[in-house]
Amino acid sequence: MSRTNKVLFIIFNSVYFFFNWILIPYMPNPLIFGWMPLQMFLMFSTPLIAAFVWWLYYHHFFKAQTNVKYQQ
Amino acid sequence: MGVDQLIVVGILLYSGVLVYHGFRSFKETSKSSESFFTADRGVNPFVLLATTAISVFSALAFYGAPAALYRDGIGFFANTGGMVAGLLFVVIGYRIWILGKEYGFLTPVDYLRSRYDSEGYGLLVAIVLILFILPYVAMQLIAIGDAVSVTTHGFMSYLPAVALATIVVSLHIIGGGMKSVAWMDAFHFVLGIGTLIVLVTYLTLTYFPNGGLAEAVNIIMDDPELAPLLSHPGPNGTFNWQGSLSTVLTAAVATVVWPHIFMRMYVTANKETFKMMSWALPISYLFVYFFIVIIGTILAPAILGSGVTNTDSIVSILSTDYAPPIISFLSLLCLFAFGVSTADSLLLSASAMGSRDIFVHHAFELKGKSVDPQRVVTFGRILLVILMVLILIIVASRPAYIVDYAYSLSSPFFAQILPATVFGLFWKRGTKEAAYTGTILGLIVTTVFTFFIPAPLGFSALVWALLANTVSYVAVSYVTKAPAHVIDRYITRIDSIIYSGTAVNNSVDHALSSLNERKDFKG
Repeated sequence: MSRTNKVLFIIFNSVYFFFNWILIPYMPNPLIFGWMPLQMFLMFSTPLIAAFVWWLYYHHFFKAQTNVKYQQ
Repeated sequence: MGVDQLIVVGILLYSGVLVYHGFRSFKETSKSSESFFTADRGVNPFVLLATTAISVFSALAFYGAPAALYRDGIGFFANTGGMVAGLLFVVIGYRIWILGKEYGFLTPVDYLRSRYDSEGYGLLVAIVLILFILPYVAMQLIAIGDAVSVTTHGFMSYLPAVALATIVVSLHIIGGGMKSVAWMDAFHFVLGIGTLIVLVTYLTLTYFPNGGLAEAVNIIMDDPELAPLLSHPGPNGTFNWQGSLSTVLTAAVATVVWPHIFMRMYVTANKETFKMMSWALPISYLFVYFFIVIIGTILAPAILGSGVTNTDSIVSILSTDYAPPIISFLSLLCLFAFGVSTADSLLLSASAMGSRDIFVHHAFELKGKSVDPQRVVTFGRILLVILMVLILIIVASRPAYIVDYAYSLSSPFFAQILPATVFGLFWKRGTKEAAYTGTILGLIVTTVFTFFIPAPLGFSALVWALLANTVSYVAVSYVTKAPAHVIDRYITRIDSIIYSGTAVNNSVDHALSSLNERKDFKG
C-alpha cells in the first residue's frame, strides 16, 4: 500500500468521522422521500460510503499480503 | 390450548434445540482449548460476521435502543458510532489474529499479559473483565425472564423463565463452546433481523395503510411534542455535538475490545475474512439499526403518541398490545436472539479467561508443569457450571448492587483495555507501568463520574475515563522503558510479517547461515 493511499485513507476517515460524530447534528433537516429527515438519511447513507471506501482500501491492502500464510 | 401455553411450548422447543445443538459437537470440541474456545480458529466469513454483529447487540439493545430513540430522538443513532467497529475490527483485529496464530493467544488477557510482560497486569485485566461480565450476562437473562412473564401474561412467571434461560444458555456453551456459539449466533442474527423486518412491516401496513411511513411521519410532525424526535438535538436537547460524541465513545468505539468481541478476532479462518468484515460489518450493523430507528422514532411515537411513561416497555407494548400473538412470540424470540447471543459469548470468554488465564496459567504453566489440552477444556466447562450457579443466584435475587450499579460499570470497564490494546499493538514505547496506570486510572475515573460527581462539560464518564487512561498511558510510557525483546516479539516482528515478509525471509537466511557455518556440512 503506497504512502499516498495511506494518507488519503487517514484523511477520508478523519473527515468522515468528524462529519458523522460532530457535524450531522447541525445539518439542515428537511424531509426527503416524503418521510425521512435529512439528518436521518445522512446517518444511514454516509456509513455506506465509508464501507465502500474501507472495502476498496483493504481489498488492495490484503492483495499485497501474499506473504501471510497460515495453515488452519 | 391457549395462546400463552402455545408460547411456552414454543420457548421449550427453542430451548431444546439450543441444548441439543450445543451437545452435538461435545466430543469434537473436547480435544483442546483451541477447539473449545476458538472453534479451531476456523470460523467462516458469514458466521463470523453474524456472531460478531449479533453479539454486540444485547437484549437491552432490542428493548433499550428503541426506548432511548423514543425518548431522545434520532440522535441516539450515534450509538453506532458511524459503524466504526467495522474499521477497528480490521485495524486491530488483523494484528491480533496474527499474534494469535504466532503465539497461540486465545483471549484479551493472553495478549495483554504477554505484550506488557506482566503477570500482575494480566491478572488485573482477567479479574476486572470476569467480574463485570457477570452482571452484564445477568441483565440479559433478567430481560428475557421479564419479557417471557409479560408475553405469557404470567403463565410462565419470572423465576422459572429466567432459570430456564440461564440453564439453557450455560448448557449450550458447555456442550459445544465457540463452535456452537458462533453457529447459533448466525441463526440468531437471521432470526433477529427477520423479526425486526416482520414487526416493522406489520405495524406500518396495519396502522398506516394510507401512506405507510410518510403517513406516520406526518402524524409526528403535526404534534409539537413529537416533532423534535426527528431532529437533533432531540426533545431533551441531549444530542448536541457533545452528546453525540459522548454516545459514540460510550457505545461504539470500545465495543471492539469487549472480551467476547476481542475473542472473535482470534477465531477468524483466514486473512481474507478481515477484508470482508471491513465492509460487511458496518452494513450489517446499519441493517439491524435501520429497523430499530424506524421503530423507536417513527412507529412507536406515531402509534402510541407521547404519553408513554414506561418508555423501556415500548417494544413489548407494540408487540403484545398492537400485534397478534404470532408477532408477540416472534418478538420474544428476537429478544432471545439478542440476549442469548450476547450472554453465551460473554460467558464463554469468562470461562476462557478464568480457566486458561487464571487457573491453568497460575497453577500449572508458571510452575513449569504441563497440562493436558483436554483437561483445560474440562476446567473451562467446570467454570461454566460455577458461573451458571452464580448467575442463577443473581437473577433470582436481583440484588440492587449488581442490577443497578455493577451493570452500569460493565461496558465502561471493558473499555478501559482499549488504550493498552491499541498502543500495545502499534507503539513501541508502550510499557507495563503505563498499562497499569492508564487502566487503573480509567477504572477510578469511570467509577467517580458514574456514582459520585457529575461528569463535566456535557461529556459522559467514559469519555473522561478514556481521556485520563490515554493521557496517563502516554505520559508514563515516556518516563519508563519497554524491554527490547518484548517490542521485537510483539511489534517489530508483526510489522515485518505484515509489511514485508522479512520475518519469513530472515528465518530462511538464518537457517541457511547456520547451515553454512557448520563445519561438518558438505554443501
